[in-house]
Amino acid sequence: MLSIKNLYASVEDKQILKGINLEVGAGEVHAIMGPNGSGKSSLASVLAGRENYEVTEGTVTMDGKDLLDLAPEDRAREGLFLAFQYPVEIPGVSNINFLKTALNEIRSYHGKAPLDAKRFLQLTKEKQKLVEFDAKLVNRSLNEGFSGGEKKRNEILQLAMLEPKLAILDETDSGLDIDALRIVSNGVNKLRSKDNAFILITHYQRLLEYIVPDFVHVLYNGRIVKSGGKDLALELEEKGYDWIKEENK
Amino acid sequence: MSQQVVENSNSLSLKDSLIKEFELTYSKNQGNEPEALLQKREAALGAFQCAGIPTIKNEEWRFTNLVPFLKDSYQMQPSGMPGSDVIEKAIVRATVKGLDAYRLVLVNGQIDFSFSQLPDYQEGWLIRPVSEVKGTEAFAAALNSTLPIEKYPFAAINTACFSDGFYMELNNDFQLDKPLQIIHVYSDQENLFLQPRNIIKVRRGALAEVLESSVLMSDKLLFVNGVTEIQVQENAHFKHAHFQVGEAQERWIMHTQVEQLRDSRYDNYTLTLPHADLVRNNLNVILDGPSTETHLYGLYMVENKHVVDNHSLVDHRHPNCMSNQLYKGVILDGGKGVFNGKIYVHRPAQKTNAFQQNNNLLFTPNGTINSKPQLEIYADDVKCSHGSTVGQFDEEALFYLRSRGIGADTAHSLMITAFAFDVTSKIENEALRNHIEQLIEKTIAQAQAVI
Amino acid sequence: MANKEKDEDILEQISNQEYEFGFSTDIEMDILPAGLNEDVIRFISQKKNEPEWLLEWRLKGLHTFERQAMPDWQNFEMPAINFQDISYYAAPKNKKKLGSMDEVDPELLATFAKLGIPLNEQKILAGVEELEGEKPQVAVDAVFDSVSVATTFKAELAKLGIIFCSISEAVQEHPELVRKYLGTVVPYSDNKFASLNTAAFSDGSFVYIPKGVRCPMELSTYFRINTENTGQFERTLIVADEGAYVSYLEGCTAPKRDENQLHAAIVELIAMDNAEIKYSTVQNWFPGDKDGKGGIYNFVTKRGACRGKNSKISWTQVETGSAITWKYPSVILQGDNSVGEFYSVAVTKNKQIADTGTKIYHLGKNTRSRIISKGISAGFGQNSYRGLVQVGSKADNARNFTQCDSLLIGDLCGAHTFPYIESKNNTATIEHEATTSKIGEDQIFYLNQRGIDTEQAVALIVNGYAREVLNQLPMEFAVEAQKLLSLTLEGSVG
Repeated sequence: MLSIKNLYASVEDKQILKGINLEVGAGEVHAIMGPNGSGKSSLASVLAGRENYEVTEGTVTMDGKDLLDLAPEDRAREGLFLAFQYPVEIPGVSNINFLKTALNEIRSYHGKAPLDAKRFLQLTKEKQKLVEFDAKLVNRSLNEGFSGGEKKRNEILQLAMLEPKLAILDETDSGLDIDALRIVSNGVNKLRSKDNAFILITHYQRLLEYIVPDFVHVLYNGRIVKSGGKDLALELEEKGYDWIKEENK
Repeated sequence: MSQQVVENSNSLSLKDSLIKEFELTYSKNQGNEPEALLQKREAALGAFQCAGIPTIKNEEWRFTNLVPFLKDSYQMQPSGMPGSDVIEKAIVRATVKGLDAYRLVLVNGQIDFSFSQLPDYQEGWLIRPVSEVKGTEAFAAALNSTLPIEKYPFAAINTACFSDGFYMELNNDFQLDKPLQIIHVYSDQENLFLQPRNIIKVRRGALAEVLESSVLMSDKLLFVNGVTEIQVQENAHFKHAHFQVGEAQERWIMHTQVEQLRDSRYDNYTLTLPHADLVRNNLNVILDGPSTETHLYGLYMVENKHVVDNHSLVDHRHPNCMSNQLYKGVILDGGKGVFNGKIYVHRPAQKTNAFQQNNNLLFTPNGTINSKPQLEIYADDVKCSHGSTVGQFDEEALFYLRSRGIGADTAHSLMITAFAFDVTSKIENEALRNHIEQLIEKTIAQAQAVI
Repeated sequence: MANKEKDEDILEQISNQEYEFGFSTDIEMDILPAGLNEDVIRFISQKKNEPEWLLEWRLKGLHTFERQAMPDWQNFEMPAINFQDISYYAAPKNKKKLGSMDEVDPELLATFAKLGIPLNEQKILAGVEELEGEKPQVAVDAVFDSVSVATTFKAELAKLGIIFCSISEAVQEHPELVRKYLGTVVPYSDNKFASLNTAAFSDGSFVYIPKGVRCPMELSTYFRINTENTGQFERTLIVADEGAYVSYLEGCTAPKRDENQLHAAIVELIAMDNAEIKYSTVQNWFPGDKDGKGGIYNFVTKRGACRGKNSKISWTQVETGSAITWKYPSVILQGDNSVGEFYSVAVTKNKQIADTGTKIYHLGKNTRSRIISKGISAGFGQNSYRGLVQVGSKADNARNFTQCDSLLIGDLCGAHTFPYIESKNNTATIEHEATTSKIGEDQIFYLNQRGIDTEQAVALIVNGYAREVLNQLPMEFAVEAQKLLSLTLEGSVG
């Protein structure tokens, strides 16, 4: 589904990604782990098309389509979803209006008619329940005054609504207590299917106890230095990242 | 240099034709008007002659250069009245969908009761043409009661020359059960310079909601120099909304002078959308009693070489008053927006809470914003603050929206709507709120089509 | 109640408190009779042995001055100043060119010593040795009425190629530099007081820091008005060439006199590529007595130009003196990535008036500015912040932040804020915030409850309030300024 080949990227002339290769197939869950500053979040930003990142080399395709050529919104419409580490607050834009606009823009991109109000509300209710999202928050301004946990749950609600092919969860576990982590993970697990795929970006193994990955990759200094099964995460937890740093001096 | 001379002589000619208009109307008014009113008119003419048409050297006009708007010549009186089909069309255009309201129609500044829909009860309120009541003592007393015309040359020449407008009075404790929409219809075969004069008196404990809008039904130039004086008496509450949606050949200089007495409340919404060429709003609120509440909300969207200039003054003269001003501006393709707000707190006005906020969004590279929020404070036990920002879109928020599949245009539109939300959300009447929100969206879509 | 009475006693006591620097010096002076005309200008120019171009320029200033109207936009009534009643030249009678510091009139040295301004290099050097590393060296140019009487550390600075001297001397020694830069930031026709200064400027300081040199010590000017019925019209010009750095301090006092005296100075700063100039002022001119009698009219034009890319100009001012202060230290940000800053504390009490602020012109790309203004009004004092932030259409990504707070102590004073914000560029971000409030009674109470008396509590609160600005001052000055603030406001809470 997603194919990253020899990806190099920089920010303000500083090389951040130095030759990433990664293949993600439908139905798979990949975890990308690594110490702080290794380039994990940068990878997520590059994939989603954040402007200040410059791709200097390599390709990224999704189902054969070149992602790097597309504007951020078109990548989203093609089915790429980024759950942000720090979701922004946009006062004055209601959550519900935002969801409706996003959903209908994506639908229209695929030549589908917009959902009417009734069916949209029905869908929202259904998904809200699925991800245990407080109905009251739906009518508030987008993320404004939300707690850290509420913001992350809102990301999962959007994920449920927009039904992307590939979802990248960027440090979704950071700042969550155990209850919130359970709710967020349950949501993701319910949304997993043979047709979609997930990339979990995380510093800790903790999240992977709730969302069990098929593959674990270790990112260090802008490159994937180790790949393996879910056991690799446990090994990392035990030995710490210094082990990786030692090996890759 | 020669250009300068030509412009000067033209602005002089507008001054001259206004003075000529005074001479014409004055001789007609002699004998028809009480001496007190005639004296006020003469004094006002003196003030206007002394000040002249303000230039950018006048601090109150430093951001708005009137010269380009004074080149044309105007008729000072309508050459005739439009037919009823024109008026009907105008009313349709001014209609706010879903708004259940009474209606007062003025055509070229004169009330037309036949197109108006007013409550059938006689008790409690009064609406009359100014031309009919200007001989009364009540009218003469209300005229310029708090308006220092020597500081406002346009209000001065309006005082000297006005012939009509509406006079509205709400009796003690009268509560208008529905909003009143006042529709100003303008139409003439010639360029028209009109100077309507309106007075609203909201007596003790009364409550009313008024929405003013206007429609120009001709392709000739229209210059309106209007003055509205409002008194909100003890415990009364007056909600006042002004929709300013015009045509490119419209120029507006509107002076609204409000006096608030003890425990009263005044809410103003000034919503200016394209396409009028020039909009200058002077909104002065004089707090003439303690414990009043004042809310001024402004939204201006300015396009293509047009100027929208909001000047506000909130004059705190007594203790325990609260005032709040929020003006938000979106400068579309090449427009110019001006905000000049002043909070004045006199020595006796202890325990004043006064706030003022002006935020501006420059949508394209070629717009201009001038913002001048001012505090002048002579009492110490007060909480006063103001803030002003000029900026563009929050890139982070834009990226977030786009990463959810929302296209750049839609994302911009959402963000502008959100930016305006702080003001639109304060409009309690749902039909009005929906109406303005739709107008905003339409304006953005048009602006995007241009870019 | 008892407490209230005590506070009133303090207020009384403070109001009667003498202005510390109100003495005058009895010294033989050369004084030109009062009056302003071409002859006076020619006399000054001749006295200073000036080249023809400078005289011509002075005369242009005079003729412009004669045509110009007094400024009328400020938030106070401009006093009637009879410019013909002022003497435009007063200098201590010592015609000889001084060979060394030892030749300075001992009476003058004593005056400056009394003001805490050491002009004796030996002593300063000795002091430095004693307090190794603790006390930074400060080079001083002392201006007494119309002329510079002494400049210290000149030789030491000259070794680095730094020129630090009186402007009269610079006209003689470095005419090419003076001609190249003088009047290029503040034109002779800028405003009535600037034109007057251009015509009649008596002396002032000149600083040139050559390419790549970081000035190793603080440079400073100390201004003293002494003679009756004179005005002081000094002119300062500071040029920091590419990559240079200088920090400059300015202090001033005047004797207590019943009549108002005029101070109309000009300061021009020029920063080339990667250069930085930091200019600090502690202004403590005689403010007049508690009834508003006497005091200095401080009408000053200060402006800096960030000509080069990545250059920086920072103004810091603590304004506690003068009957009227009228000054707007400004920065023109021409170079890309240049930075302008303005930090100000202005205190007005009794009948003092301050109308001060800044103007920042963003012309280059990525230019940044920061304005922090803290006004404190007590007694009948009136304090206005007046500021302009202007972003031109080419100033992409310009950023400004302005915070401007007013503190009111007592119910007879006033605090006013007049910001002008003008933007023609949609990539610019401008933020202006202002608040006005009275000094916190709950804060005073809290401090009282912890055993701190009201007077000290006010000093603490005000110093805390002004902290952000005071922190910008060089260490020694910061301590002085802090003392000055506390002293100025003693007993202001009734």
